[in-house]
Amino acid sequence: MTRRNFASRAAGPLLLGVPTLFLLALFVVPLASMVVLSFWRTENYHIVQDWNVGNYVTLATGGAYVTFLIRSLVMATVVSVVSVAVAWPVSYAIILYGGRYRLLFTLAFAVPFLTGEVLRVIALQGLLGPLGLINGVLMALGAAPLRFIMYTNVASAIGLVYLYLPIVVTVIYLSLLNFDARLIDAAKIFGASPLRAFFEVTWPLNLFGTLIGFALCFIPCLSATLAPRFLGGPNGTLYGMAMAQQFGESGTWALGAAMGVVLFLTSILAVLAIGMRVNLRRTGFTGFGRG
Amino acid sequence: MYITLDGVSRQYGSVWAIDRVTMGIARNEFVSLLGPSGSGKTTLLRIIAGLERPSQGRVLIDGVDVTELPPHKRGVAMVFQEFLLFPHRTVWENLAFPLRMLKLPAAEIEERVRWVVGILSLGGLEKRYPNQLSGGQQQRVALGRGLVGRPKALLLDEPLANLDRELRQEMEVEIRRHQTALGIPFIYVTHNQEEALSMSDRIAVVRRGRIEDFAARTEIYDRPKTAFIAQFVGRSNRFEGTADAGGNRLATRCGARLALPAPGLTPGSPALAFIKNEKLRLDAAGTGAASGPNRIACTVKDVILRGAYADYILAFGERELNASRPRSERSFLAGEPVLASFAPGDIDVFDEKGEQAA
Amino acid sequence: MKPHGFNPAGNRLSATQAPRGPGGGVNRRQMLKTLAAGTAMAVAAPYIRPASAAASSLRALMWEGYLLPEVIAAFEEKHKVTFAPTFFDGNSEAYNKLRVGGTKDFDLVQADGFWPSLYFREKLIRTVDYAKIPSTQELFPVFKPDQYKLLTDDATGVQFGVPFCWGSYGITYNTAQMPAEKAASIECLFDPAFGGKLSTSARFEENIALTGILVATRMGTKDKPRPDGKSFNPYVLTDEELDGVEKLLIEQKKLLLTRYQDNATLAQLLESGAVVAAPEFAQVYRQLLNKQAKGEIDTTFAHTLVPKEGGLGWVDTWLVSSGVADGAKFDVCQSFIDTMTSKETMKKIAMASGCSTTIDIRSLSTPEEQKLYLMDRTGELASMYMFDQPSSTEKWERVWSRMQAA
Repeated sequence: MTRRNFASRAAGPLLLGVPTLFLLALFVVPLASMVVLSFWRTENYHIVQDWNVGNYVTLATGGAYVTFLIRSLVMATVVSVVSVAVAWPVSYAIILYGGRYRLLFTLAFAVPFLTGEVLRVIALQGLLGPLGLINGVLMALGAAPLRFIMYTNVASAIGLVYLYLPIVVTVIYLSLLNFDARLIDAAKIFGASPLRAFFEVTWPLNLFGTLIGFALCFIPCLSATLAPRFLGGPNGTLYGMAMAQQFGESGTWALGAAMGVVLFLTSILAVLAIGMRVNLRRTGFTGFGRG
Repeated sequence: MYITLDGVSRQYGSVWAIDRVTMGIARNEFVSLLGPSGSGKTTLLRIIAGLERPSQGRVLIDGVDVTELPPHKRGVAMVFQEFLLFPHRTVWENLAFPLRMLKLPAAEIEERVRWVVGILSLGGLEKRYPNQLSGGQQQRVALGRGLVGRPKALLLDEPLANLDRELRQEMEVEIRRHQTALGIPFIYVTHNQEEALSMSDRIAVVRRGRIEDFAARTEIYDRPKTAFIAQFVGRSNRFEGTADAGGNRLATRCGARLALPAPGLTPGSPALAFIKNEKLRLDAAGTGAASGPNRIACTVKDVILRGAYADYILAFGERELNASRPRSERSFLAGEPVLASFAPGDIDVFDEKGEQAA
Repeated sequence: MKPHGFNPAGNRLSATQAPRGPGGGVNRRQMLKTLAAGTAMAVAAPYIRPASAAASSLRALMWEGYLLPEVIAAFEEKHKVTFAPTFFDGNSEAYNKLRVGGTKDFDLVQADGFWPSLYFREKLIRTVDYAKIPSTQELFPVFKPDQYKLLTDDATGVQFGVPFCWGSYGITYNTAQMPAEKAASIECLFDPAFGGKLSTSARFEENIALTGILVATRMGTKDKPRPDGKSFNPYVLTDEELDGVEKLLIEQKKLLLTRYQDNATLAQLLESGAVVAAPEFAQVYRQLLNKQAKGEIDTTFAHTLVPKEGGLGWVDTWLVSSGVADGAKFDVCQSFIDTMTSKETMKKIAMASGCSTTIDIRSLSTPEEQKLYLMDRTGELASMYMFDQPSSTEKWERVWSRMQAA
């Protein structure tokens, strides 16, 4: 075997090795250690390495954790649906009327990411709280403050929409940017009204992008910690926030790890549930080659 | 006329992309809009389709003023340069799309799609997605989608531009055949004069948003109305010169002398003349007088074989001339001296404004 | 312990890193570290142990709010050492850092309440010599070893820590909205009359412990013999008491506007009148009094240091890690503690962190400061229950989660 031959043979596996190592280091190893930890237990800030499924039993029978998970699922669904519903017209308007400012808009979407999540939640707390801009103005006008946005699940939902809307807008915007709008012309020529053309062509061809936007909103919402903590009030504890408590103040890491494993599986299931319903071909996905 | 454009104009900012176009197209007519890119021919097509609205003027289809109608209410169909098949739909579904929009019963949809699959030889491809098709197959589906709804007119926007030469010639024949069979007007936008010439009944030459001439294809080819058409349609030798005192002879800048069939030029004025490549006769040097009007002694510089024809590149002093002769004639080799000659009637002469002069 | 939760400059970003409850990122890191220690590190530790730092470097595991750059700089200059601080957000975090080999990584450690004795039992810290730390002479009597027993080894009578700052978890209340006699009892935090105008911290230990005092008082079990034979400790509750705590906390939920995550939020809520009473470390109380003194607000606030049922208190300490052997390094450690507990430094720390000091700095303070920083009320500490580790974090966590889900 010549040297060059060897080099070219080694190049493939080597290049594949990079993403593999990346996945191993950043994903598989932490996940595996979390799984291991979830089958141990803690005792007053000590990790006790005896194998048991007690944490999962606690999660399943404790009641509280199932409640948190259901709350989080409902919250994530509502937030994602609202975000997608808001993001669509916004992205579409930019595509249609953005003109030469399109690039500017694209960059502007990234601006919120430049500030920390904490900072943005705090800003929102200032906006929604009893002293916040909204209620401040209402009270100055002599009106009653809006109770439902003060430390409630509605406040959490507003916070989460606010946090993840830029991501959804960006994803849907990019999807629309790659969408050949002349297909709408084609649909119209062949007898579709503008509305019909939207549902026959624009929506299905951007469904994949929309679902990615949905998932990129849904999954972090499932594990949201900050928004419920700062905005949610006494009844606003969500799954991610409860999980953070396990790792933070209460030191019940093993139970937290089990919560993490459940969250991970739930996220995978959610993505699969969405994915199974989508025929990629039906979204114009061409990544399969000509096969 | 079945389709009428009445003083149609379209303004973008301060630019008139379409400038007072008036034309009529008969039922059963194949019309090409021929022009260089940016001439406004596609805009004109989109105005007929309803994808653009004219700034002024009216569009009538089958006697109905459709100027204000959105595209989906006009009953026309279109074949696009990039095909624009729906990528998320199979071939069958793409073909059924216009029929579904017409809300036809399922049985009729089935029957009509079957019909179009038949006439376009798409059998076996019905379940494929567009990206699983070759360029030619995609073109057929695009054409089928245009025909299946039995539109009032089919608009074709450079549909063959993305195909290779051989496939293009095949499709030209096929498109023309379908047009003849269906008896609806086809309006065909192209910058390719060969396509326009091979299929059209009439050709509208578009230049800077205006119709330069709209006439039968033979008329356009054989008797170009303007210097622009003479230059753009067919392949010609171009001569610049000055009319003599009689107004029927032209002394060209390169030294050739052209005798026109009739006087028509203002004596002493500059003029342009075009002689189509295939009108240039070639004889071996020494046969007949070497000098005189409409005779140019030159040398063969290169020969390009084109199957039934041979293209000769001739050296005449500083400039080159082009001649295209059937292979059945005597052939010449590079370096051979030849005598190029032409009949007075084969010269297309224009005055300095580009208008027809003789 | 709390000072990092209080930021006199009003910088909300750092203030939001709520006491003891760090954000998810920190927790994950902490968890992974713990994990690594529990598994891989156990094998690899002998080979990858961090190099023992040179004697010229002094490494501290401490609360961020107590760091005074100019004091540190002067100390570094004088003793020719480099001070290298690492910060933590809660006792449990520091405890874990020490347990996974941190005694080799840190020379000085901070902890509060009962935690130092736990550290000493587990041999994470070593004894100190008060004779080498002359500032200890200036401790308020109540913090001297003869009265304050939590830093003395029962068996040998030797000290293993030096008191630093102290505070309570008292109730700050709006005098116009809540009468003093109501605010004198923990009951006020469960009084429907103030529904929607109450707030508590988001920390589960203090919430459960404080409620535990009330529950035990109501059940009459507080002063009866305890199952463990010791006197009542709100961090060691019986299952029945915990049940009572859970019920009470669930009832309290609908009375709470929110659980505040940071002092700045609580200050706003109190200022605006949205909240009329909340238990806190008196830092917000001091902030509000300052504002009132400057005429920025006209509401009057008062602070119940120890409710009549009993209250929670804490004393932050300086400890020396068991990794420090007798010798030059130990001497530097003790000098550092002496510097930190000197009157001058303590005055600066009180001003910067808003905490009361265990060192008597009355000679350096105005009468207002003496009042504000409770310098004449140190005696009340004796009646407080010291912050401690919950008897079973697992049981307490269940109570807290069930309450949140209810």
